[in-house]
Formats: sequence, C-alpha cells, structure tokens
Amino acid sequence: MEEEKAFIKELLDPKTQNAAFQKLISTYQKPLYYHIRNIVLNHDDADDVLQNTFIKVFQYLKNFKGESKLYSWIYRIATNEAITFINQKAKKNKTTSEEIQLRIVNNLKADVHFDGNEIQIKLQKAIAVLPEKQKLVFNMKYFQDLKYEEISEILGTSVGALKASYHHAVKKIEAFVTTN
Amino acid sequence: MKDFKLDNHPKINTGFIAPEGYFDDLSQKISNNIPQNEVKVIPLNSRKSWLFSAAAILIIALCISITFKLTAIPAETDEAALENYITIHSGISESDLLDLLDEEDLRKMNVSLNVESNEIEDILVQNTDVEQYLIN
Repeated sequence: MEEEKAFIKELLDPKTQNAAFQKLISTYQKPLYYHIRNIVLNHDDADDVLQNTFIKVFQYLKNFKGESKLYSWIYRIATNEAITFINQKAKKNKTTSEEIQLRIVNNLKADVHFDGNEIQIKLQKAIAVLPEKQKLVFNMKYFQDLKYEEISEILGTSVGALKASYHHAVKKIEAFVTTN
Repeated sequence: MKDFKLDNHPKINTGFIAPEGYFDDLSQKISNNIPQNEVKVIPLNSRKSWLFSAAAILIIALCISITFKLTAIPAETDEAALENYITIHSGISESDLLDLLDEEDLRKMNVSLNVESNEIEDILVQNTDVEQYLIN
C-alpha cells in the first residue's frame, strides 16, 4: 500500500510523471488489453479502447482519491470505456450490443487475431448471449482468474451477488454448449 | 453432446491474440496521444458566469441612474435664462406676453413715482423734443 502511494506521488509529480506513466502502461497494458478484448472482441476496437483508457487514466489521475486500489480504479475505467464503446457501436449500426457481439463471434474463424478451436468459438457464442453483468463476471473470473473481492471492487457489486452471477453464467454456458 | 461441465473440462482460453510486437511500442504511442498542457475550457452557460453577468448589469444600471440624478436640470429656472429664452425665441409677440399676465402681475408692475412738478419742468426745459411729443 505504501509502495502504491509512492507510485501515485510519482505519477502526480511533473518531474517524475512521464517515467512513472510509462511504468504504469507497461504494468497494465497486457491484462487490460485482454480484459477489454473479452468485451469488444476484435483487436482494432480493443486497441482504440485501451489507448483511450490510458489517456483517461492520465487525465483523471489528479482526481484519484486512493479510496480504492489503483489497479481496480484503472480496471473500472477500462470496463466503462469498453461497455460505452460497444454500446455506441451498436447505436451507430442501429442494433443491440448483443447483436454486434454475436456478429463478431460468428466471424471469429476469419479473424487473424484469433487462434481458437471449435470449443473456444462455442464458448464465445455462449458468452455473447449472456446478460451484461454475467458476461463481465464470467470473463473476469474464468479467463482472468480475478478474485471475487477484486471483481467486487472493480464493478462495485457485492461478493455474494457476483458469486450468484457467476453461477448463473456457468449454468447457461454449460446448457448452451451441451445443446449446440 | 453429453452434458458439458466447465469444471470437468480442461481450462479453455479465449483464443484472442494480439498482433506480434503490439505491446512493444504501445506506451510510446499512448504518450504521443496524451494532450499536453490542456487549455481549460470554461463553459459559457455555467451558473457562475450568469451570476457575474447579472451583477455586472445591476452595477451598470446603478451607475447610469446615479449619473442622471447628479446631472439633473434644476426645477427652478433662473431669470437670466428665461430672458435669454424669450430673446432667442422672438416668435413670442408682445400681445402673447400680455395674455400671460394677470391682475396680480400688473399690480406688481405698477410703480408709483413721486415726481415734483418743478422737476418735470426742469426735464422739459432740458429736453425740448419731449415737449413736442407731449403736444402731438
């Protein structure tokens, strides 16, 4: 915690800001990229959202109160950015975010930045039709191995509610894969 | 397909991959896109600016009313100004002026002169032409 406070101080000090921000990017770029990619599904969109996320982190860093951990604050910004992006994309295409995600998942085989087999595609199709919250919880718990406490801090939902969401998501996914 | 159970299946990863070398220059790319020394934009329709505008208008209105009050024309016009006015506006005829005079004004204008008859005699002796006027 003390280490994090010192790092935040470095991020806010104009003299050390640039070096500290480079360090922040190299620490979080990979986990954040995959977190965002799981939501927006294609690489180009994930790249846009990831860059916007880091720019927002930089702009709002002076407002960071330290009430939550730095990583959960950054994850929250990334999650919001990704959801906003997918909703705006759906609005632009006059459709729903679920329809957009299904369209991308159905074309995964042709995606050069996807290297998966039939079961992976089937799993993505099952996730695409889940309600938004269950989708987020499943991605963060199953693929990213985040703890419930960490997810709770990022999404602002109680651990109990998250466990229930994950349980429902798993049941729906198992039923989808069994019948398809 | 028999009942699929996630826990019984080996861990499935997403299959998503990033292009090769994508993360190598990402931090530089992001740093280049960060706006430097952002200019603070003050919205015109903010509540504060409306308050300032209202206060400014009130002050201007007060200044104008005070200035007018201080430079107001006195209600009573002095006699010299009145005389000048009559001289300039020669369109006002003698009869017009007479019409405006009432009994009281005429009484005030009636000046009683106590002139002795010998004094009149002296004036007539000195000014011979006056006698001419009196005869005619």
